[in-house]
Amino acid sequence: MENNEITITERKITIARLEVQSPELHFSSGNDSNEYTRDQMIDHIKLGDEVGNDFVKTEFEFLRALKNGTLMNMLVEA
Amino acid sequence: MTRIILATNASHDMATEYLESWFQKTVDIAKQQKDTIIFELSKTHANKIEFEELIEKEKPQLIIFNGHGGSDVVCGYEYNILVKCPENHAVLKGKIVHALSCDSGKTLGPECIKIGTLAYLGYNDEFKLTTFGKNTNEEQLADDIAGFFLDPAFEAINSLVEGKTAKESFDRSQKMHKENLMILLASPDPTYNTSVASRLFHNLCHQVCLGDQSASF
Repeated sequence: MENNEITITERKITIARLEVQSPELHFSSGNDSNEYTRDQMIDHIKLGDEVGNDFVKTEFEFLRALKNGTLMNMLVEA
Repeated sequence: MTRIILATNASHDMATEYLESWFQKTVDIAKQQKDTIIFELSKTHANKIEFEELIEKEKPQLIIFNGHGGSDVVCGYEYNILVKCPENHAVLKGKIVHALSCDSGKTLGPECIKIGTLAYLGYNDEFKLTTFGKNTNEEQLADDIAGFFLDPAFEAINSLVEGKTAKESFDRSQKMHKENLMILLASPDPTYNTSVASRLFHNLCHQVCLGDQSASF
């Protein structure tokens, strides 16, 4: 995802949500052999690099699905 | 007829080591099945030469890839390419395939179906994993956050091993993803945060089941 597709507000919201999570969590994604702790991920989001942007994008796919009802429609089918 | 499974476990970084830990449950299930043999290529053995040799020699009907991948590839140890489209994806013709790897459901899977792979289950985008970063096999298997991701992912694999159809295996996996999402959303435990749920939701949305939905192993 291109850097300019993510807004400052989206970054702030994602960081705020991460800050209340356990610092012990590790995040892995894609073909990246590295895994990132909560605090490392926050740093990547602040930097606006590929790792951080990908995390924000995933977060907002979920939040939008929650907001527009897509998520709940999927879950009630379970 | 003997049922033959060939599995590869890259197991060269934390994410793929977690996959190998979970795969041991698959081995246990395979051993409980009648007339079923499972061959595993792990770590340095997860390379293209040994993979193609086993395909040729043992003629497995079910192929399980646990490792990194891309739109047109699935990889073994340290990104050694096992199958790449269009170079050697014909080795998957006539087989049922599950790829627990990123993206390969985007191009490799559809191309395999075109040339006669019976069914291809996997992901058409990145597979997301959240863990507590444990190191030993035992600790990884006890990692409940990892379980939210890997139990539903392996539900598809284990269902295929048990002889369920591609569609049944996919449906069971999707159902478990949704059940785990409900737990994450409803839990008062702050560790089971919706930021963990967002990544599980991503996997749910990008899991694919291509080809003959009634194919079974």
